[in-house]
Amino acid sequence: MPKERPYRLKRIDDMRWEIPKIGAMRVPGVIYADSRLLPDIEKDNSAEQVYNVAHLPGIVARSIALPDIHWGYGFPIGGVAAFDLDEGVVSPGGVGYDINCGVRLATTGLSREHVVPRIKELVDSLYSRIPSGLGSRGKITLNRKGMSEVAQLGAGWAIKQGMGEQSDLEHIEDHGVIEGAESSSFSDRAFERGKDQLGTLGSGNHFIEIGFISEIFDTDVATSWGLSAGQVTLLIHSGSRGFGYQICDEFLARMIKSVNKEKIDLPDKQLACTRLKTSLAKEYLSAMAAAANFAFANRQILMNLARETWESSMGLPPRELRLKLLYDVSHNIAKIETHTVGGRSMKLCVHRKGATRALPPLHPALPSLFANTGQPVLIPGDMGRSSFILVGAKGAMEQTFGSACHGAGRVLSRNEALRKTQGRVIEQELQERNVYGRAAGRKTMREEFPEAYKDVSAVVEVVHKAGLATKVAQIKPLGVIKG
Amino acid sequence: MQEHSPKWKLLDHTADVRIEVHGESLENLFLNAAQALTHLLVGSPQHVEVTIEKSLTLEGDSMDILLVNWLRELLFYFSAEQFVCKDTIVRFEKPNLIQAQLSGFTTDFTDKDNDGLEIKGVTYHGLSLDETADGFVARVIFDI
Repeated sequence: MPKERPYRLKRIDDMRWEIPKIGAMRVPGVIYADSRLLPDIEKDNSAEQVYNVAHLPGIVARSIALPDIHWGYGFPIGGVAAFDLDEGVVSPGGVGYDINCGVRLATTGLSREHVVPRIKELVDSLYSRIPSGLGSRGKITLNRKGMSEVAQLGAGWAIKQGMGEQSDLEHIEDHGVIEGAESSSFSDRAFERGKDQLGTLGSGNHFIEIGFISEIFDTDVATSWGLSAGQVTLLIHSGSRGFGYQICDEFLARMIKSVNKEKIDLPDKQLACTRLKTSLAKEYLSAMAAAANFAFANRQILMNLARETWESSMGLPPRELRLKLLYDVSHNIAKIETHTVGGRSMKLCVHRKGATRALPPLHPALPSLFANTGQPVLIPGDMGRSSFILVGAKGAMEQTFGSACHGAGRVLSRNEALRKTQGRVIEQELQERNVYGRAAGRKTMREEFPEAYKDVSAVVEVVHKAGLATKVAQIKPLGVIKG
Repeated sequence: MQEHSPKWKLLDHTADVRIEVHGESLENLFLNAAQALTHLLVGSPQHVEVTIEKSLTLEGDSMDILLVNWLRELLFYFSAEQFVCKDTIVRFEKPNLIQAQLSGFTTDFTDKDNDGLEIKGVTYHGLSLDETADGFVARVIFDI
């Protein structure tokens, strides 16, 4: 794939590489990677995407790629870019089709020994109860008014329907709702595509995973968050489903047209954007908020479905399962945030495309629960190895607009993954690693086999050493449902 | 998995799905692109009877954008109405305006166990549509 590249990578230190500012770039690029991860990054077009994003109007300081970076469309996956509100832009492709795709982690009162003997039964029940895979439809069908309520209330909507506790909201980024979602902001088509998809997992890399805490790195923070070694956890990865996909699609098409009028030169059409001052930007941000809120509600409903299924399949009363939300993070989003750049406090539109907010201790946006520790940063790995819980650190505010990585990052295309796993039964290989897995799509297991991803431990190590977020605990999988 | 038919093939892309579509004519290119999308979504539906006919008119500021608009429209029908396009006749009314007759069927996805991909969107990244000695060739990336 690599063709002649217009840029070169310059080593800053053990964890960082710079794409120096050349030509029409407005800022330099910075890629977080160590010598182990760099070859994979150089293999595809992801660094070129960092370089392309650096050309966008009003971009501030640097175009950033975190160590899980891989080739996406337009913006790289694992990318962060912040834009000045006067000159800068918002780009639907810089958020992605799956608006507010994210991860939530809940802890339980159960230990590994309690769950391992019944993991198959539990995973099978979750698999049959939770809609997943292509075209999955949920039990809730919304009318237009109902959709507007979901779009405006986010996770709070699900709680109002009895799916969770009011206190869950403290454990969700932005309390599970992004302000500004007008009921008129989304089209009939977005409504049509999303009306029966609340409480569905989706397909591809979306998953529900039962795991246990295998190692604790930061005892103080772990204790403060109620984490202990051997404790069983629930990890959910899903987003705004067809509702968000359609919103991204429609605004991209409009901005493909508007860039010419706004005289914005793009190195790649998928970077289509509009200046933040335009009414189109306001419309997009309102629709994006609607989709983000749908996603918050979706993960709240999925957690509630998992809770009910878990209690009934293992015959446990709620006081024994004690499923408690630790945190819910968004990893595809654009937000208006205040950051200090060159000693000056600025309001910026921060795009995180496959990146997690990572607020450090005492940040004003944190709820009191996390004020002293910093924000939990959840980093799922592949389904065979492990996932990590980190905590936001000061370096994130100084270097990455308060962001850390979002996962392991793919290293093999789905095609390569299918070629490498020809004739293999991934479910069996997972069982040899003591993980019981089920997937809706016949090819999903092979496309998502562990080695299709970078080693999440290596990715997290770079984030930890660069001081963006620091390690709190590691989670190992016991059972997984893939979409 | 790599070769489906000489009309289109999969190309590698780290996170998403990239296809290359060929056509002797533009009409033929649009037909083959529609069939490639159907194949990615549900596999080969040769044995399913056509029960629904639809017609649509679409335009685009350029030929490559028109191709994206065409695939976006078909993806919407699939995602919102569960409509699978099995065959189509595409006619160019103007250089960047098509009129198409679609024939297909609806699917209810009651079976979790399937070969299909959930395609989130049709992207503009790496989009191309070129004339060649044998006709036309286009490249499109789908977000999955």
